[in-house]
This record gives sequence, structure tokens and C-alpha cells, in this order.
Amino acid sequence: MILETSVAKHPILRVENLQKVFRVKAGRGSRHVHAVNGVTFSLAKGSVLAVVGESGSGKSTLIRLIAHLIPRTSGRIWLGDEEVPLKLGRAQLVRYRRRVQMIFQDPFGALNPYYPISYQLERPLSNLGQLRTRLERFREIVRVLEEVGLSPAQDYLPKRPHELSGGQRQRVVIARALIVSPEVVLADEPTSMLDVSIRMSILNLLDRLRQEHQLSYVFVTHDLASARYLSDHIMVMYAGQAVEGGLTDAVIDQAAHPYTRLLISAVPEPSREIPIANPEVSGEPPDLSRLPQGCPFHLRCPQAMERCRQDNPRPVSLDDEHWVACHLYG
Amino acid sequence: MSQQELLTVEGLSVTYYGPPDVEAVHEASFDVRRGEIFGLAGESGCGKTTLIAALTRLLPDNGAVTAGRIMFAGADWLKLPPSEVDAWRWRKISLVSQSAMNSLNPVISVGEQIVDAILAHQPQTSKREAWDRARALLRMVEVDPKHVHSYAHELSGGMRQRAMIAMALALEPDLVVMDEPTTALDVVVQAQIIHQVRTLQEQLGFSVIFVTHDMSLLLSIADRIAIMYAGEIVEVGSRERLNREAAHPYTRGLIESFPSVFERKSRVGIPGAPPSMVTPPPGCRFHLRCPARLTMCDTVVPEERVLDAAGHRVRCHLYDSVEAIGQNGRN
Ligand SMILES: Nc1ncnc2c1ncn2[C@@H]1O[C@H](COP(=O)(O)OP(=O)(O)OP(=O)(O)O)[C@@H](O)[C@H]1O
Ligand SMILES: Nc1ncnc2c1ncn2[C@@H]1O[C@H](COP(=O)(O)OP(=O)(O)OP(=O)(O)O)[C@@H](O)[C@H]1O
Ligand code: SF4
Ligand SMILES: [Mg+2]
Ligand SMILES: [Mg+2]
Repeated sequence: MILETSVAKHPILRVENLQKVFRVKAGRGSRHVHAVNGVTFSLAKGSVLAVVGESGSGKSTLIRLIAHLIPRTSGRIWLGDEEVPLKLGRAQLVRYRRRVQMIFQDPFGALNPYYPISYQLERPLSNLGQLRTRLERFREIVRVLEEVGLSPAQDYLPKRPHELSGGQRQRVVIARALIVSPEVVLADEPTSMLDVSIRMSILNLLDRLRQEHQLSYVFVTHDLASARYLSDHIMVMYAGQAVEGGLTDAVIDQAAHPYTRLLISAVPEPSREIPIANPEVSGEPPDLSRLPQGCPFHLRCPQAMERCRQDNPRPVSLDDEHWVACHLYG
Repeated sequence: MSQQELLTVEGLSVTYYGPPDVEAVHEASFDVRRGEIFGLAGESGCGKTTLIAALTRLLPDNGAVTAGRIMFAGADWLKLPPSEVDAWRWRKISLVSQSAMNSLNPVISVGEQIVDAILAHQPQTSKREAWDRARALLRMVEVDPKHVHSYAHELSGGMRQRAMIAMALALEPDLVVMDEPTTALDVVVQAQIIHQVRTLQEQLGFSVIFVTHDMSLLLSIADRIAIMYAGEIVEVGSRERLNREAAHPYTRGLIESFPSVFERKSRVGIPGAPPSMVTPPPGCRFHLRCPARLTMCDTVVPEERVLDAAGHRVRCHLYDSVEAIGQNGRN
């Protein structure tokens, strides 16, 4: 990878002003879908950044951009001290993938149904070409399977995906991401397709692996409670923009943005007054191909002011590790 | 059956004929009271939709009730001939099905679908009245009445689900059964819809059976809750009771499976995975995953025990020493 700019030594991953515009055919012309609009964050080694927001807010697009699964429209990405260029050659991409792995939402779709687990785990290893002999690779596969709790590994090696439960499949997907010893793991709703009783074990597994290997995660979820459970930092997205972010505890306990407050008020909590407080805010997120002028949330915001209809608010800092993009805060 | 109860299910079993045969519901018993939200929770494949299909008499061709009885609004419901069931549908019982959002007819406007339902069951209604009612119903679920002329694809997921709920309420039924009505929706939309259901239910007085895998949701909205595991109802109790002291180890595990947004507390979930319904485990169906399991749990099927006068009931050997309250375990 080309080392273009040296930035702060601490973040393992940093993105600046990332942007993605999809061009979608519409009749004879085309529409521009602004799926990600200028997102900036950095991720410290060994930490977890949760990205939360409603459906369509751009969470998956954001991490696909970072994973180099789709090209970004603009913005910059650094991995460690190295800037990641807009386009990666074949060899560069292989190196990048070794350092940045992705875990998908759907453990069914993520695995090839025709091959046994052993093959699915050996492929990324032989692609990288680090472990030369089959025996070396085999040992590594066994080690990783045991590590994700599929033990004894021998029982799982010959199985095909359909012979495993959903939770076991997701463990295989995690094993496949880990086997190349990545530094950053991008996880897109890794538990939302799983049975509720096994979700915690996957979250706990991710947490343990993070501690043991100093892994760093970007953890995409629509579930604020899981975000609180796993992450130390959180970023709230609305209509492709990051509207609030910072330390997880601060953002949830002292939520500043009206949208963050709305999200929190809607989370079902056994401890809370019944019925769930009626969120006064009606309406739905805006059409990303016709974003309103001003703050993207102003059409639903109970506190919207004249300014909100004019200018898109810039992020302001509330605290050392808590910022918000909303005109209520200066 | 006391006045309070609208629906009583006793020992209901349902089998799908295969091969392999699957007994998807095994000896389920519970009752639903007038004007309450009754929650039914359980993991994927445990038989929730099957139980609901039996209750609404909508089982697919390869499914049949093999045992048990359902009393509904004073009638021996499973014995009613199909013609009568059809006459009761929408007027006494209606269903918002699991894929409701996608079950609006794509080529007929939302309004027409509501009007058709009204006219089919109340032929004396004039067309004009029916259209007015359709608009009023949409307004009631907070969908702009101009959408009577919209087609499904023109509405967002949340609006489609509201329209389905409006339709289910069109003929003012006593019981509305909702199978995962908000699972596919964002939390904000979910909260709005639930608030709506709760408000309408307080106004109109119907009962709701609310099916979901989201235990934390039921713990914040239902009056009483039944927990289902591998085809069986393992516990029934009031929301307060389950919140405070759930009795069954599975219920406790399920509650432990939901982290809280307000505190960061370590949670464990439940080890293992739900069993196959083709060959359910012997003894207690939960014993393979149960942290409290006794030796007998591996082989002996636990009987249901009633823990208090309010009808908190559980199926677990830990409560074998509890004496039965009232006859046949119900009071
Ligand atoms: N390949 C694509 N072409 C066109 N539009 C796209 C494409 N991928 C995503 N979009 C649009 O970009 C927006 C953001 O989508 P994205 O999948 O990133 O949201 P999300 O926050 O992950 O939502 P969810 O919670 O539903 O997964 C949506 O409006 C979506 O329709
Ligand atoms: N038409 C059918 N024929 C045969 N088996 C079926 C049929 N429908 C469901 N089953 C089986 O019956 C069991 C219960 O399924 P059911 O759909 O009632 O579960 P559920 O609790 O509603 O699950 P989910 O939360 O995924 O909706 C499952 O094992 C399922 O595979
Ligand atoms: S009967 Fe036994 S195995 Fe089943 S839940 Fe109770 S203690 Fe656990
Ligand atoms: Mg997504
Ligand atoms: Mg179902």
C-alpha cells in the first residue's frame, strides 16, 4: 500500500468525509441516491465503534465502502498510518483484505452451500499464501474453529453449511474472518438473523476475541441495546449522515440530538413505563435522492427552527468525547 | 369459563403431515381475557405461527389439530362448520399475519380491499358508507385517508402494516391476532404502531394476541405472556410477574438474552440451540440447555403447575412440589 499521509499514530482506522452516491436508473433518466454523506470517524486499536440508525440510513453502505466492496464517490480512508487509495490493484486488495475483514448479516448467504467448512476456511488461507503446507493450514483451521467455540473442530470440518444451526454458521463466518488475523473487523448486523437465545453468545464471542487479539470492530446494528453492550464508541446515522457520536455511555445517557433521543425512546425496555411513550415524531426518513435542504432531520424534528430548514448543521463538540450535529447546540 | 375469558385453549396439539411428520404444537393450554393484550413469545420454529393458525382456523392442508379444544366467545370453535367460521372471520376474530406487510393485494387499492372486506360481511352497507368507513379506518391508524386510492407499493412498510391493522379492525372483532406485526419495522415505527394498537384497544375494547420473538417488547406492552419452547407452552403469567420472577429456566434465559439499553450488564443468553421439532428431546424439552436441570428432567415429562391464584403457570420439575390450586390447574 502506498504511504501517502502520516496521520495520528493511534487510530487503526480513520475515514474522512466519506461519500457514496449511487446512480439509479429511473425511467429514461437517473436518480442520485446519496447513501453516505460525508462521514468521518476514527477507530482506536482494540475498540468497538457501533454504527446505529434506522433502515436505509447508510450503515451497510458505509462499511462496504471501507471494505472496498464498492468504490467510494469521495473521501479518504487510512488504515493505520497508510492511506488507502481510491483504487486498489489485485495484490493490494489481497493485502487489504488480510487486514480488514467483514462479517455479514446473513450466515446462510455468506457461506458457499456446496463446500464443507474445512474448504471454506482453507480458501482464505491459501489465497493469502502464508501457510504453505496443508498441515500448517489444517492446524490453523482447527485452532480457529475451537476458538469460536466449534469444538471439537473435527466434528465440524466435514460439515456443509446446511448441516449447521444458524448460530454455528455465524461462528464459521466469524472463524473465516479471523483466520487471516485481521486488524479490523467490519461486522454488519452479525446477530440479527440469529435466534434470540443465541445472539448473546455471538456478542460475547466477539467481545472475547476483541480482548484476546486486540481486534477493532466497526459494529453495524439497528439495535441500540446491542450497541451499548458491545461498543465503547457509538455513531448515530440519519439519512446518510452521522448526526451524533462519542463514548457510548455518554451518547445514550446524555443523548443530545433529537433523532438519537427519538431512537432511545422507541427501544422496548421491560423496566419502562407502559405503554411505550408515544414518540411525538411522526413521518419517516427522507428520500435519499431528494434530500431536503438544511438538517436532514428537520422534517420530523419537534424542535426544528428556521435555521434548520436552511443550513445543514456542522458537528460541534459537547464534551471531550461527545459531539453532535444539530443547531440546538450552537 | 368465567365471563372474563374470551378464548380458552385446552390441550391443543397440531401436527403437520410429512414425511417427516412434525408435531409443531404439543398440548398447549392458555386463555385470553377480554380487553387484554396477550403476548406469545418464543424462538423461531417453536410453533407460534402454527398455534395461531389453529386458533384462527387457517391451518394449511397438511396440518391438523390432533387433540384439544378451543372455546371462543362461547362456542366450541373447532367444531364450528367452515361456513360459520367464515361468517365469524373479521367480525369476531381477525388475523394480521406474519407476512402481512406483503400480503396486501398489489393490484387493488388499499381502500378497495377494506371496502371488499366490509361489503362481504355486511352486505347491507352501501358502497358509499363502506368507502367512508375505509377512510375513517385509515385515519384511525394514522394513515392519511388520501391513501385509500394508493397501491401497496406506493406505501412504506410501516404504512402497509398500519393498513393491515386497519383492515383487521374493520368489522370490530373481539379478538385480533397479530403474528410478528412489527418485526420487519424500525424501532421508531414499531413504537408508533404499538402505541396505536394500545390506544385503539383501550377505546374499542378488543383483545389482542401479540406474537413475537422479542421478549423485551412483550415485557413492556403485554398484560399477560405465554412462553413457548419447542411446541410447548412452558410458562404463562402476568407481565409484572414474569418481569419480577419468571419461573421457568427458559423464560429466565430468554429475558437474559436481551441486553438493556440503559445499563451495561453482562448477559449470557442460553447455551446450545433450539431442538429439532421432528424428534423433540425426551423428558423436559428444554433439559439439554437448562442450567437448573435435575436428573429426572432427562426422561420425565414435567406436568404443569399453577403457582398462584392469578394463574401463573409453569411446566418444569423445579415446581413439582407446588400443590395444585383449583381444579385441573385453572381457577
Ligand atoms: N447498490 C445500490 N444501488 C442503489 N442504491 C443503493 C444501493 N445500495 C444501497 N442503496 C441505497 O442506499 C441507502 C442506504 O442503504 P444501506 O443498505 O446502506 O442502509 P442500512 O442503514 O444498512 O439499512 P438496513 O438497516 O436496512 O440494512 C438506501 O436508500 C438504499 O436503498
Ligand atoms: N406447512 C408446514 N408443513 C410442515 N411443517 C411446517 C409447516 N409450517 C411450519 N412447519 C414446521 O413447524 C414448526 C413450527 O413452525 P412455526 O412456523 O409455527 O414456528 P414459529 O414459532 O412461528 O417460527 P418463526 O418465529 O420463525 O415464525 C417448525 O419446525 C416448522 O418447520
Ligand atoms: S424441567 Fe428441568 S430441564 Fe426443564 S426447565 Fe425445569 S429444571 Fe430445566
Ligand atoms: Mg444494512
Ligand atoms: Mg412464525
